[in-house]
Amino acid sequence: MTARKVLLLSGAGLLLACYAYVLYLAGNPRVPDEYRAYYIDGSTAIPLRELKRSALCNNPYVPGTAVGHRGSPAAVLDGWSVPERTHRWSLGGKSEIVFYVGDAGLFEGRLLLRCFYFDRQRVRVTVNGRAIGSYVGTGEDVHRPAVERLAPDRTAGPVPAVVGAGAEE
Amino acid sequence: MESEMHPRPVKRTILLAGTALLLFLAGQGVERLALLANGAGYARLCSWDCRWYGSIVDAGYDLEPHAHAGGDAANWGFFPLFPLSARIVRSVTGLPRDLALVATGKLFFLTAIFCFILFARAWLPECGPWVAGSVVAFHPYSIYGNTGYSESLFLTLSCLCLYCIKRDRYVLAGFVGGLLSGTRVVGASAGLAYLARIVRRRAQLENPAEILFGLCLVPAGLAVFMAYLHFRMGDALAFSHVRIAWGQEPGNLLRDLESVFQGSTAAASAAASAVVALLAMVQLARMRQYELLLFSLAATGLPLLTGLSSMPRFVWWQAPVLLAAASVAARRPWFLPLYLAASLLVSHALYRAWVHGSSWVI
Repeated sequence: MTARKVLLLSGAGLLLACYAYVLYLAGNPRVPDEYRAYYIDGSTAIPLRELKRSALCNNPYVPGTAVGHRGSPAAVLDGWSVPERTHRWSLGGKSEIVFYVGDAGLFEGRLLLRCFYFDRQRVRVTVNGRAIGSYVGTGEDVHRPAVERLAPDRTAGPVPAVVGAGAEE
Repeated sequence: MESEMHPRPVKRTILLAGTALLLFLAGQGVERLALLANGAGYARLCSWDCRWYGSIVDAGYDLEPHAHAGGDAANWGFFPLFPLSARIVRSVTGLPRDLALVATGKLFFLTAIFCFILFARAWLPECGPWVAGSVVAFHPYSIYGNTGYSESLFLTLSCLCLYCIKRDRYVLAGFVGGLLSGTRVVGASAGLAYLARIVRRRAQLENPAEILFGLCLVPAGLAVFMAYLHFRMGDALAFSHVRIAWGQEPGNLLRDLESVFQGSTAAASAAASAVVALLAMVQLARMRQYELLLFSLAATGLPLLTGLSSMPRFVWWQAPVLLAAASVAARRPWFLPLYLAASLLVSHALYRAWVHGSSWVI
């Protein structure tokens, strides 16, 4: 048997061993329960968004913690594009950031929106469905909605808390 | 002395490359007219799946699903070789991301035309380079070679892989097959063509170690991607599981067929493509090209299991299907003008739909 033949057969054996390992990995996914239920077992048809929202109750938002545009276990971003390097685009008429506040009295803050608008767009900002501000944005701009202070009574409501922004025109 | 001994193959290759380039440029001219007619520029070309590839170019594969109405979509279903190539093109040229994706797709469209001409010479010697090249450069769904999709890379690699199989270059065929399975999941179909070739040539095979090694290389791209997904987000089969976010689940075929009879444009277009694939397979069987028939059977049948969705992309960018069309064009002089006219009409409708955001062209 020539050296070349030995090398080729060894290579083939090594590849087959690697494939066996990959098959083992495929049969043993390391994923959260809700992922397994929705994607793998098919034991639930509840859209993942609802499952993720209900999972937030186990992971309440801690005031002062930064939630980046790539997301966080303590927040669900609905109605947004895939995250890009520095931002993500809002999609459609409504984009939401959902988080579970727990004790509403712990949460107080200001809302500052820094956005890039296509042409001219009217934006309405809501907290738990209640309008807290409305303005027209153009180009790259920073806006403070009319009500800047998110008083506890405004965030107290059905959990999880929802901060929504919708472009109306 | 060396160059005197082999001047013809080099000259022939240059001529074939020139043919491919001219056809590519003509195709680009047709596309430019389609864009002008619809008042759109190149920036509008990168949409739908191109944006998903863009997310991979920018930030790699998602850690968790986040998009679509159910929040269940992620970029795991998009195989890595095309976005990796686009990333290289972006860093070399400095183009913005979307344009880099479109440019990468177009670059591979050019190589696909050239590689298809080589592939056709190997599998269908009676087909001239102009006929073979025209079938690819102006095919009805050529839009996907111009819009930052992986189809043109897939066609390039499948032509090269099947060319190497025909020439009995097994290790090289396996290496290219490995790249192919890292481009789209149906790339692994090359393994079936490889096996069929071995069975056909069993009496003449000389180096079984080389053949075995080549065969083992074919699924390498898929395996690397699966392992990467496992260590990135936990599920090696995420590329398949995430199809649920696009409504692609086993058993959808009957539902999709129902849509055809309800007048859905997308379903009608997909069903027509499936019929074309069937006709191409019949033609391949008549030509006794069983290696290509098996490739086509797997590359069509696998996506068909989850419905008719995206069927035109799976069918019209398959080298064996295009070869079946080229074989008819080589024998029936009336076929090519008819094919080109029909392609132009379909292409015009597709560009119009694409530019205006109609989702049936995805």
